[in-house]
Amino acid sequence: MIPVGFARAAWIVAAKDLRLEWRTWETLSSTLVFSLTVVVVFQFAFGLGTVRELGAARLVPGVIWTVVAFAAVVGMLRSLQLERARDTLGALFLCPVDRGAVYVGKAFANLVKLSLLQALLLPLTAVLFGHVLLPILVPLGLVCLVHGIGLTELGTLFAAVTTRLGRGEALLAVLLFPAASPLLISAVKCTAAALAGEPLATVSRWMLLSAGLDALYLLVGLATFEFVLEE
Amino acid sequence: MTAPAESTEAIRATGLTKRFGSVTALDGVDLVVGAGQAVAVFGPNGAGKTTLIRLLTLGLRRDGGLLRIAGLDPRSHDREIRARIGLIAHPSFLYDDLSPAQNLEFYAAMYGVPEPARRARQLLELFGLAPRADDRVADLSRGMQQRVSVARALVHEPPLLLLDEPFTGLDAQAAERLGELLASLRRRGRTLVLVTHDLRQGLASSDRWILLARGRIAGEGASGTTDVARFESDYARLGGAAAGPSA
Repeated sequence: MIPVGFARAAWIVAAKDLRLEWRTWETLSSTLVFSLTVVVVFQFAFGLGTVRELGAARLVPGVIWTVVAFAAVVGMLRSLQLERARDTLGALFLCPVDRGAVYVGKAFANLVKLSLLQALLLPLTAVLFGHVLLPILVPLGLVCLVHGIGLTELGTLFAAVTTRLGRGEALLAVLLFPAASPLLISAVKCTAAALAGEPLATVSRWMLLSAGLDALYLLVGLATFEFVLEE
Repeated sequence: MTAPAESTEAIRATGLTKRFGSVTALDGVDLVVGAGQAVAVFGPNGAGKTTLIRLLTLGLRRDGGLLRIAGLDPRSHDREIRARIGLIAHPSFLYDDLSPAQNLEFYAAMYGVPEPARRARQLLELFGLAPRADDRVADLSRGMQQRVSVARALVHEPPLLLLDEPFTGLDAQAAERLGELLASLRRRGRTLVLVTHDLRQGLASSDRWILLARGRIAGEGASGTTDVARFESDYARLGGAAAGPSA
């Protein structure tokens, strides 16, 4: 047997999770329907007149990140719950790999799924709220990526805690949202800057804070993932 | 750290203890299993059988005692030990929405088996599952799922196989096949530790047995010389028969 390194093990776990999603489309379809519903409801609540009056940069970031945060709860919980059904997480922990790699692999697969959702959500908000997308695609994509990383790192860890306790979305939301609030506030500020066409340098402190939180959440996840799932 | 030379002892546990809060699940268990031996572990519900298996798989941390697997200390050779263990238990450890081939390929890759896809196909052929290789596991019968589960446990050819109630939920035909497989694994020199309520099957599949009760070893003996009828009667008195089927 060839020893499986950290990165390789994380990639094998991520590929398996993405393959599962590809076969079922369960997470993406449910989060997409939820996101579509919420965005449409917000659009009807505000109306195009209000959006034009206040500017998309003041309304749309809140809509995007509210939707993303709630969709993340559903998606990340499912990624851990499917491991519980046949105790596959127990089998994963038996494999001769670093258990932190299982966490990183699952978080990476969750990030890919969240990024796909964002890739569908952004054009939808552009159409419904009448803001431009193409000229701001790169900075907006960067904002989504930096904040998506932190959200999935934290969400994957808390989904593990919730799954270990045999609880559902309610507990995950209670754990995740307060802990992720600095990240979500930063996400709203940076998205607003991107939508207003301002360079990201104007929100560099928020971006740096988020990058720092990404690193912190990763370290916390690596240090604790094994123990939160241990009996 | 370098691993010691291959040990003739597959398992050496001395004073193995595990507590869950105020409950002592295992209380100073001593167990030595030689390489290539097959040991059946009997005991009523709550005797500590599954806890013993989970300690041996390093899925739980022990609260006391000493444990060596193939002469290796779990504290310093955790991954080397995990690479040597295969586990078959009541949960299948399979992803329902993946096919048998995808499940086996995934686990083969996680164990660092060269050419995981080839190994998966090889095992599917061996277990007569090739025609259903690409179906969803959820669409297979319980017996077929159990065969995939056994193939999964053997994907990295572990020298030590731990089996926790592997016969549970199997029909007579599937149980017979599993019994034959265990016999063939014994012939090939694998070390087996089999936890079961099924006394006859357990005795037939082992060289010796131990009986756990309240977290301690309450008896042990050679399987070949054990009077099955008397053993069943003693076991029933201990509460084992009430806990599950004994034949």
